[in-house]
Amino acid sequence: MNPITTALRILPALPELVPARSGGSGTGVAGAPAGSFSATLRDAISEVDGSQTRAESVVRGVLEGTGEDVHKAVIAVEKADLSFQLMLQVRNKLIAAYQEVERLQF
Amino acid sequence: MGLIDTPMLRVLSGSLDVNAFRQRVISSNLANVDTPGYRTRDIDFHRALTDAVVSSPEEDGNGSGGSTPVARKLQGLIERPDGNNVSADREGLLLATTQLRFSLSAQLAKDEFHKILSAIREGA
Amino acid sequence: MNLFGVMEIAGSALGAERLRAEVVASNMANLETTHTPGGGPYRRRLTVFRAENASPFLFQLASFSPSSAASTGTALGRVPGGVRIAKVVTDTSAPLRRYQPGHPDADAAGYVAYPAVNPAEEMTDLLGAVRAYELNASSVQAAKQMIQQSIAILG
Repeated sequence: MNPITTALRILPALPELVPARSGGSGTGVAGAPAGSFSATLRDAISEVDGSQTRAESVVRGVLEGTGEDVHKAVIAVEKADLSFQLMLQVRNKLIAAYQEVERLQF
Repeated sequence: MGLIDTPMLRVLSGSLDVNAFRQRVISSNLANVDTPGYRTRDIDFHRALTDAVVSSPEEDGNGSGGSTPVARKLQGLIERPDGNNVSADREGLLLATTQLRFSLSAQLAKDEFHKILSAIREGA
Repeated sequence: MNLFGVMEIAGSALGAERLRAEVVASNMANLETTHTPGGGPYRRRLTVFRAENASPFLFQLASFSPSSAASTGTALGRVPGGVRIAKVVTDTSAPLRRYQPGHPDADAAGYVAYPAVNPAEEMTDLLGAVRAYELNASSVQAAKQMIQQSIAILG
């Protein structure tokens, strides 16, 4: 579960990171952590894109009869699905944290 | 390695691949149970399982890949007068056990995906 | 080649064994046929089985090549890794001769030529065909179940 827990571990750090990015007062975690969070989110998004492309390719292979096994296609589809779910959760967390910060700043 | 990947998933994915491949080999043996001169083939099952887990399944980016096991002619089987050494009993038994291993791996993979989904949702 | 290809392999065997059973049935039906349009008694027929490209290399090649021959195998009648009846040959053994002077097909010496078909041998062959057919039917079932189990991973 390491890649998932790594991604989820950064989520509690969001409230600190958001004010840093908008330039307001915060705990001063401006530079590297904010950069690494956006990098992680960017990676997650491209991962979702990549895994969905892979899934499409394998499924097409099965349907066209070019030799891929059904189980490979199914696993690729599940992985793409879960990548997407993960990205959704990360995005939701980001939005929720931003809204919380908005409330604080009146 | 993608975001959605666990050691368990790699093992199960490898198991599914190896057992599916072995099924093809067994089917070929069974299809040729009456072919004169045909020699039974099989894979080195344990070695194939290890190899499948070690090699990353997503290297070539299209969901397939990893090393394919080699089907070799089997030694030590009794040969009939026409040169055929396929044992219906051996292949029949392997057919059943391979199917069971595949079934188990598929079920565990399903459960593993559920666990991953739960982990994602509980992070919320 | 994937599990669908496995069903084609087993399918090739089902076809071959069925043809073998048909040839046995023909032999059995003609046990007493002393005269054929071509002249002479019925001659026993045999099927010749041949493996179809069952090399280990082909297994590797098939799994990597996008244009795997397995997908066109059935169209050509040849399935890689499967089996086929290469030919149906006629037994050249001498016919059996029985002394039946009154028989319409008797020769000058009063002997009638009967097909050199041994019912016990034919029955054994038939049982072999039936057993092989059952084995390969199980093979199809196994492949089908594995595909269904793969699909069940979803959701």
